[in-house]
Amino acid sequence: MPNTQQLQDLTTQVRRDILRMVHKVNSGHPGGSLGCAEFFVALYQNIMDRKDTFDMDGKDEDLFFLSNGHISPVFYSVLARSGYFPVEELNTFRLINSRLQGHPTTHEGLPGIRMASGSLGQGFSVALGAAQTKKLNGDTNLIYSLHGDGELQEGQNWEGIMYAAANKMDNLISTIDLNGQQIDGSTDDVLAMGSLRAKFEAFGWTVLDIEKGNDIDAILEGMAKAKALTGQGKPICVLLHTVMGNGVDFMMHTHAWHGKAPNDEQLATGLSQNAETLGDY
Amino acid sequence: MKTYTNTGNKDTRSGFGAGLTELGQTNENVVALCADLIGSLKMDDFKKNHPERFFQVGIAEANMIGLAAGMTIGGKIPFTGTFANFSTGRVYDQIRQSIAYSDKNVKICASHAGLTLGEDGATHQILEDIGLMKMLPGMTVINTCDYNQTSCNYRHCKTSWTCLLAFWKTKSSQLYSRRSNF
Repeated sequence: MPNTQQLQDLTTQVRRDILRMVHKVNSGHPGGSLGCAEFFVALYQNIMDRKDTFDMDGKDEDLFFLSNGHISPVFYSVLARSGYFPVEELNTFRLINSRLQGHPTTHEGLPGIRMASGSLGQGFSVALGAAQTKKLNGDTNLIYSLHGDGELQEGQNWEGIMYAAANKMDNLISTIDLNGQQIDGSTDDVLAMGSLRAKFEAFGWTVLDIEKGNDIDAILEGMAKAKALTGQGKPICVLLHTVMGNGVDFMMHTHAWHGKAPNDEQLATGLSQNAETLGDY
Repeated sequence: MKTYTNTGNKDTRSGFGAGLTELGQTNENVVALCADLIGSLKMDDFKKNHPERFFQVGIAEANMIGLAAGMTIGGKIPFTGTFANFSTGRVYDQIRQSIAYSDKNVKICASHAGLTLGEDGATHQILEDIGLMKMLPGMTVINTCDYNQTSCNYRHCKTSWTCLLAFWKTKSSQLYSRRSNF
């Protein structure tokens, strides 16, 4: 199991991947990707009980579903650097004939992807379906999912959230990327959702906060607590308090870099703040 | 010219229910989901015979489609059941992304299709169901004409393609035998 420093080094390299991927094609979503870099690294390197090889059914291993598919840069980088496909393939992000579509898809057979995402709000239902099948198969491994906070404005989420508690889906740990931003501004300005903790609790979920959502140790500690609460008849929601654009100073604390690529100068600045650790692709 | 004989009037939705129960007995990976319309879709027998493989999702069709898509991961073959209007138009985007584009073997079972729910009025008369589904790559659309066709069409559902079965509650002439090669 990698130590904190190794996870931090990998996170820094993932940040470089994200910046270089979106810069090359002058499109993509760096803000949310950067904010979730620590979470993805911790999840794939430490938290999930997963196999090194990929098969769609994923029996007897933990599975992960990304609901907010637009943060594909961080997903692709961490999948590649976790051994699912060659890191050189990151160079094809968003290009024609690439398996790395702007939003994740199973259609091109990219290892690590089990469901297309992009149209928001569908991830809870899909993750719940996979969790239900694990229960039917007597498979005691867990399902993890990640959702944007703004994404919770989609109604389908709450159908799934209601189903999960009613059916005691206690093999599911759903994390909300609580960065408080969406495309048009802050989530409070666009459509205020009030207390997500109160909402999830009212729907019958167990809720945990990870206040330092960009701190590797805090994530490991919080997710270990979440895992310890599985199997007790209730689904688990983790509110991960992150900073959008984390690790690149001019991208932090703003919605401005939700779906915008850095120019040459901005890329150089961003990379200078994240020195190469494991080698660029 | 091939000739047909009407052997009696039966509703196609009962053919669906019987076929689903039969398939559930022969294939333990078959699971069924329903959005609060068990009686209308004649899914009672499946629920009674395979309670652990039956999922009541409530009046939440979008969630039902996503659940079904996710359930295929790990080897299940889900059949979703609700009226055609709520099986297609209401959840088109969920079918498009989570089933068709994601290549998931889900059977979308749509009842009371087209004008067949006439007395319920236009909100329940979807005329776009077959058209919407036919536009999706990989989607097989099966519209059966009688009880036996509906019951036996699960032969096709053993393939890896998603499909739509548009069947109805009104009784229609029974023209095909169970051994017919449709």
